[in-house]
Amino acid sequence: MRSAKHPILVCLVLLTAIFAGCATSLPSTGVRTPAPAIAVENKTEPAVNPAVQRDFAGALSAMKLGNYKDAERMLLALTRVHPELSGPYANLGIVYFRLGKLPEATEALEKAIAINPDRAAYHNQLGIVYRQSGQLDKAREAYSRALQIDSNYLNTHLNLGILYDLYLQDQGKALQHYERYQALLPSADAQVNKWIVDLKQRQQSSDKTALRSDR
Amino acid sequence: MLEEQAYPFEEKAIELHEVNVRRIASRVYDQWVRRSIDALGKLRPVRYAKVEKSEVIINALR
Repeated sequence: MRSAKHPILVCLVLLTAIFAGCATSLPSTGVRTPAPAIAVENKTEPAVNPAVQRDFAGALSAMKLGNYKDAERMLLALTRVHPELSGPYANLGIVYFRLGKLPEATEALEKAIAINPDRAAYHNQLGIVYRQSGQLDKAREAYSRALQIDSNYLNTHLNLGILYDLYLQDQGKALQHYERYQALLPSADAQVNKWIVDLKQRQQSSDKTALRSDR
Repeated sequence: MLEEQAYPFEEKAIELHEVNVRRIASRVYDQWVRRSIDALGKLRPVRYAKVEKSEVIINALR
């Protein structure tokens, strides 16, 4: 009888040891979670090579100095090696715009937007290029998209105001955007104030003309 | 004296350019309309010499 009980006891001791071992191998929370490094890797974009960042900064410095030919060369090299980055295309769009190459500017900015459609600055810049190319409806759409992304995007309010004022000839909407632009500035722009006064005078005179023609 | 004599011609030029610029409403935006806007920018700067604000650079890489 005694010898028959021993195997059961041994089994119980072994099972306890196995469970204890499992418990110590689990995290302190007791919940098995995926390795954090993998989770983070899946959610964030891979870091940009410091050499690429340096080249990009060099191109931006050339742009600030007005060396557009140098900037063009540097940015084109970046787009060839890293076509997945929107920044070099967007800045290339600005460079071409400054050089008066509107078709090239359009192409570069459209590529930047295809890669990253969520930057208001890209749409604002494309709006300017479309307007200068005479594509006024496309310009309005590009500016509207910029404001959908960032309703307080300062330059777009001014640019959309100019588009409505001079080109689409909608004085009411022009005034709305000029006034929004002024409200967003820390102190009002004196020149835009003059535009607003002139626009209001034009609205009043066209109202009077409309009244006269009604009589 | 000369300015006084030139005034009616200047007014007439503004009027003609403005008629041309109004063609934009019918989506006419050719080189003549552009030239009229440029001319009006000099004749009536407050109303017509308006330039869009572009970024100097865009810092974002992605």
